Amino acid sequence: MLKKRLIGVVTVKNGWAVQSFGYQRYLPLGKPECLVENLDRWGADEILIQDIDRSKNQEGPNLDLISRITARGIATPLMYAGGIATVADAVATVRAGIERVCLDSLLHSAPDTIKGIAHSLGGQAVVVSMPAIINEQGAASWFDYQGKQTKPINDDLLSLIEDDCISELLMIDKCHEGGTEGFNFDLLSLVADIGIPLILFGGFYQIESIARALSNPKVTAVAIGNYLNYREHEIQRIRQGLAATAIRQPVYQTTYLLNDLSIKQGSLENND
Amino acid sequence: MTKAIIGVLDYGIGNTLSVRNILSTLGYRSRLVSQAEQMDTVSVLIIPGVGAFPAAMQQLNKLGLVDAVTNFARAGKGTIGICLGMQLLADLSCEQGKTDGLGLIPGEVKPIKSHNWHIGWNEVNVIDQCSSLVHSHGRSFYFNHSYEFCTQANYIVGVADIGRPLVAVIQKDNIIGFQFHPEKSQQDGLRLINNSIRELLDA
Repeated sequence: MLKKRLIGVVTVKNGWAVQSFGYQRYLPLGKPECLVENLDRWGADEILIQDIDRSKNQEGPNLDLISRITARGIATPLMYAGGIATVADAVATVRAGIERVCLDSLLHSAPDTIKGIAHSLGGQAVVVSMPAIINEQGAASWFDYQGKQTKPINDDLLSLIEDDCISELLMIDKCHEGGTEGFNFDLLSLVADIGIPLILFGGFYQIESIARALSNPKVTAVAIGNYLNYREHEIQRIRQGLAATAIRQPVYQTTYLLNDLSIKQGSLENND
Repeated sequence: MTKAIIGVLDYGIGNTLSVRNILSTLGYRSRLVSQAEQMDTVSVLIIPGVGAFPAAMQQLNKLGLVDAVTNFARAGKGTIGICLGMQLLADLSCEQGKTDGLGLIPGEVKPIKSHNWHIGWNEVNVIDQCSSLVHSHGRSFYFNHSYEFCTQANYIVGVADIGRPLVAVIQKDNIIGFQFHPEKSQQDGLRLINNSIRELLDA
């Protein structure tokens, strides 16, 4: 059966990978391509590169960065967020080596462009990002970075989902991103009536919290940022902790050695 | 010694770079193929794919590559379709209306019933024990699609479980299709694509 996913997130600001704290403060981590290479080597199920300056500065997707990353022979699916403003931007991003584009600003400024992107690339290649917060009234609400305000779920988003222009929704706990308080599951009330697979991001580092997220039938993946960059093979440790969950099990070199043995023996046995 | 050159079909919307990078990792020489006359220079052709079926066929027609690809494959040369590239091998697709495919492996591309999307890692069960792909039995590969290739049982080499069997690998003689992305399936994907190319080169 289809496995739930652990997505490694690399946040890029001004061309450098950074540790983000609620998208308010940042600490430099190094070259993005090195972090992506690490996540690839450690067996992330997917890697999200979120280039957070590109839309604000109207710079378009960072194709040079994507080329530097893919030139390293990354064999893990890549998702890119940042600066994609046109269908041509999205197509160029995929041609540069990205499997899926993640869109945020376009959802507010030009939802029809998202339809155009889905028409060219297919909805399976389109993810939209939804930063969410708990507002002053205590209700989960969608945060618009461009307008610096919260807004309700609108018909544009529902139409895109209805038309299969979007395959997954990346819900970001804006307040807890980069923090240690954990993802606020109350935010899920915002999308309770929407039938779209969810990727949750923001504050995940404890096994219990990740397991709770993945036990939700609507949640297909958990995205983890800062926490993966400070400990070698953290993804594998998380996988071990989630052994009871429908997730890919840790992949170690010995697995391949055993499998190679089975090849020599012509066996069909799965040595996982 | 003459080294084989693997062609990667460049029709304007596919993810060609990832495939070429992986071929380089595996030690193969590769070349982008975007014109019919370039077909003669390659031993095996890989048709990559991230995109919608009609847009892809429109591009292939526009570039005059439809006859070139079908002639290449029908001449017995190794041809591998990946994801959308596999679906293009079909006779017909229902994605965004009906569109003719390359017609290299009999079948139709239809929406995945009861599942809008099949995105993520899933195990592939190789049902043809004579296939060189038998070494990949039970391994997980990365899928990302919402349409499936419906074909006759004799062309189905491997399936994935989505509550029912989903066609994951098809083969007709020298033509192989992967519904998943071996180039994005880490070590298992590298091994699979290497075994497939070797099988086609040795044929």
